[in-house]
Amino acid sequence: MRPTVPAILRILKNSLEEHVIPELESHYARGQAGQIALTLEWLADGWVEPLQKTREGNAAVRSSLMAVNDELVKLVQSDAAQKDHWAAAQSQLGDMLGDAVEDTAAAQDADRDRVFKILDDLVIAAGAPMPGTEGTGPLWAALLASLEQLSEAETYYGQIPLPEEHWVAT
Amino acid sequence: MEDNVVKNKEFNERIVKYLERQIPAAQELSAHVVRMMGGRSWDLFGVRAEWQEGGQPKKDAWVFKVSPKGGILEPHDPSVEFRLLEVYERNGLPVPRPVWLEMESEPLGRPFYAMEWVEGGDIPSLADPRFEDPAEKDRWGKAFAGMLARIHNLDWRKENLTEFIPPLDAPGNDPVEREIAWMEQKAAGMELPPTPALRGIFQWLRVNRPIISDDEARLVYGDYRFDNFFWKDGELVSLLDFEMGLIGHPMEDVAFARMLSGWAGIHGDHARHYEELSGVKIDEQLVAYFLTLKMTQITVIVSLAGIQGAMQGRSRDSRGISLANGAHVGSVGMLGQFVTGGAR
Repeated sequence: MRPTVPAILRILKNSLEEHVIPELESHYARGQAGQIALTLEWLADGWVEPLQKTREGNAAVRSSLMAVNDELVKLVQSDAAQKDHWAAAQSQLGDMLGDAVEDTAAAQDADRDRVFKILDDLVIAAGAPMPGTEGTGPLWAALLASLEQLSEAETYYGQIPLPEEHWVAT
Repeated sequence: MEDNVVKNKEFNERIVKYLERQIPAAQELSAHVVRMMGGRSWDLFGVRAEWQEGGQPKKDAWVFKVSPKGGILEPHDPSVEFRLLEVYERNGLPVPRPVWLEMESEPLGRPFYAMEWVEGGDIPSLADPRFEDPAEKDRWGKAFAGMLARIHNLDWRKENLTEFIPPLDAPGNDPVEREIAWMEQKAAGMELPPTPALRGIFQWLRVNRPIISDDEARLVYGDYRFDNFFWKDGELVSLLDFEMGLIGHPMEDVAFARMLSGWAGIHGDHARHYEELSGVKIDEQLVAYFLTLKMTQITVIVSLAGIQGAMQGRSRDSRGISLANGAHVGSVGMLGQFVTGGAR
């Protein structure tokens, strides 16, 4: 997961209030910085995650989960000793993939939470990560692809840069 | 202009008031406060004070390590590091002398501790021209490896370190399992949405963990890297940054040194030097395992804690945004190594 945009805006506001404004000697500069801080809070309060981005991200992860579903079906068929275990995981995933999601911000946000939860449950079910083409290796390869997709969907703004030139150590 | 002079009048007045309380005989005390930027986990202030005492001029300097609000190494309990610093000092290791511990928020608004301001050394870069001379490189590298041996030789049981440093009372049958359990507990305690990639890494660490006996456990420094210490003429004059200390396996420190200390990362002759002084054999397979464990630990205690501070609205340091942003991406990258067979 990453911090939400409102959380980031509030860190910026807190940073201004805690570390910048008390260090400013000019009343004019303090006024400017204070206005920026209040505006950041105003932006955070009203922020709504862009529906299109959430929708696209969820759709991409759901699509990648189809491959996970296929691997679970194969394990149900091939791993007699743990057939029930894999069937339960596949059933949970199948239900999720079969559910339609309304095209509203609230529904897509809830679907993002559900994607995180089901991936977490699937990781638990899959056990220790394994390479290769035997056992749970193919399942893990499919899970990894889904997690990579989730990571990409989460960080659509890219990594936040660190302005190294301003952080000169003393 | 001097760098990073603190101009926050209220904070500077609080510092003076605190010093007057701690040095009751001081008269006409004045303090010069600078912000130190050596780390991102605590708020560090260098304080130089001058005063009159019994008609004589006096002066001293300290570093105040102040708990940040919503920082990346929560919970920031200065007493843990203060006690650890006392242990190092008592055992003859080069550390800044711990001076005052203040758990009340009243003096500076947050708990903190103060230590001696170590001066006269520097933190050399691994690319420093001095290291073009192989003899110099060898001398410094051996000093780095030798200091780690001294830390690993410290009798941590005698010092009752398990009372206050991790993995504390985490469950497990062996030291590594307890350390993994401690990380899992810490991650779960943050009450964040699920982090499935990190969970997968925990599962890998558990299944692939080496079973080591309690006898092999040592005080692990936790942040052992060449450019994290003060040096003078090839001698390590002061260890710094003690907040990642724990009881675990000594290869954890070797792995971290390998990761971030380049040529000084305890290789070759330097590794033999470490082995001779510590009596601990460097096991490369264990080093590889602990490299993964260490990176996981950093993800948990830096990135996840950064996210927690941000999501709960407590974080006040804009630098934390960059650190927090990488938690999920970093975990997926590590997991990929296990699944594609890149990890040993």
